[in-house]
Amino acid sequence: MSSALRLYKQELTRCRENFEQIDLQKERGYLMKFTTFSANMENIMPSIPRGRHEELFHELLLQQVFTMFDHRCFSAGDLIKLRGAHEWALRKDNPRIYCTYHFGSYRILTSLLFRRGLDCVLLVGNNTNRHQGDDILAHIDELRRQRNCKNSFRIIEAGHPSAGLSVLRELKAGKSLIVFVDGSPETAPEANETDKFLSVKLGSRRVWTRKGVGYLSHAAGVPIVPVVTYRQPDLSNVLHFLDPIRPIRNSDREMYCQEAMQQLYDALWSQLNQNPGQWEGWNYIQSFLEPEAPKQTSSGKRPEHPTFNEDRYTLCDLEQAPVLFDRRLYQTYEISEDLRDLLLNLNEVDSVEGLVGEEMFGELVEMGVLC
Amino acid sequence: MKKQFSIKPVQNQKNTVASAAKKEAHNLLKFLKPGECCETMPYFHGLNRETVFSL
Repeated sequence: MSSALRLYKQELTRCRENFEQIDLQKERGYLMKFTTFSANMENIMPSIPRGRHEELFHELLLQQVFTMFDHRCFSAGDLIKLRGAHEWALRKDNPRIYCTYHFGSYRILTSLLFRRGLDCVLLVGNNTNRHQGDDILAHIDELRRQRNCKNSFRIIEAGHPSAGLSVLRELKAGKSLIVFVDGSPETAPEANETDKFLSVKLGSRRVWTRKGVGYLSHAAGVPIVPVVTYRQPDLSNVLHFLDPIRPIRNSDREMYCQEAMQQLYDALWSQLNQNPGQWEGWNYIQSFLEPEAPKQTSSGKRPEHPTFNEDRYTLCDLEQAPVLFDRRLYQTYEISEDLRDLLLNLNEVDSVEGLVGEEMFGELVEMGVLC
Repeated sequence: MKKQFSIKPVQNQKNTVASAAKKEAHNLLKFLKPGECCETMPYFHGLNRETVFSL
């Protein structure tokens, strides 16, 4: 093992040791973040039992710490392992659209492409650019200084009205594009944007995804290269370049967009099955979920011995107020402290209906809080 | 004192929660804030002094 690799792993191990000393449950924001993560995982990947969610959430938080470290540590970019069709994918002969995900140490792809001398355009959300743009540019500038890289690099904000045209111009000028196709909280669909999205299957659900990437690929005749970054148990980063998705000239653009985006999400799904604790999207994918048809939750009969429906609802005791979280519909309810106490101690009450009143009891049964 | 049983849906916007839950959800976990990770993790001392570094 090279000394740099040994040092890198040593540093990450120290990172992990420090992380393990943190009492996560005392961190503000932990409960709501974990509950959202858990609901998303359950709705999309129900094969993972709820009992494993917290362990996977902690794994994700640790991966995020590692990702921050990698972004600032140049050596991380020298130590990655390349898999798949990387020789073709990293050629500088023609532009490509590198489609990646918020998976593993996801910023390392940009660093690698720039190190390899590719002229790159990174497409990010406006907020991401505001919060992380300077950091990304600092990394690139340092690479220019230390590694004498002369190639170009530019960030384009996806929310800018002329973003599509700018990217198309850059692709036609021979520059490659880097896109995170799994979106970010700020790129989730708004009511007036349905024409910009299409629906793809992800595990047990369907999600909305922007079709701009497929459109650009088809319009510019540039292949899409799916790339997954993940971390192995020995802490090394792997960049897996999957087979390119090539647009066929004169083919139907909408059909190509649908097929290309589905292939990109199939690649994500395959990786999720292997490393479920490395995808940041678990924290916000609910904003992209296609709504499910309403299910009949109540038989109409009032239960004689009601129990709290833990499968569907989670009680979160926040600092300001107790909250009931509907894991299926992602609806949040503020509840009184007395109702919270009752839901936690239903078996100690002779008649729940008698205590809360007929109307409230009916509402709780109708909502599926009691079953 | 008479017990109060109430349940009030919180209006969702883009599926994010509001009110108490929103305040809670918008609090980034402290150790993941770039400015504060160094306090929580003394190990990250290098990150404060230099933007980027090599091993």
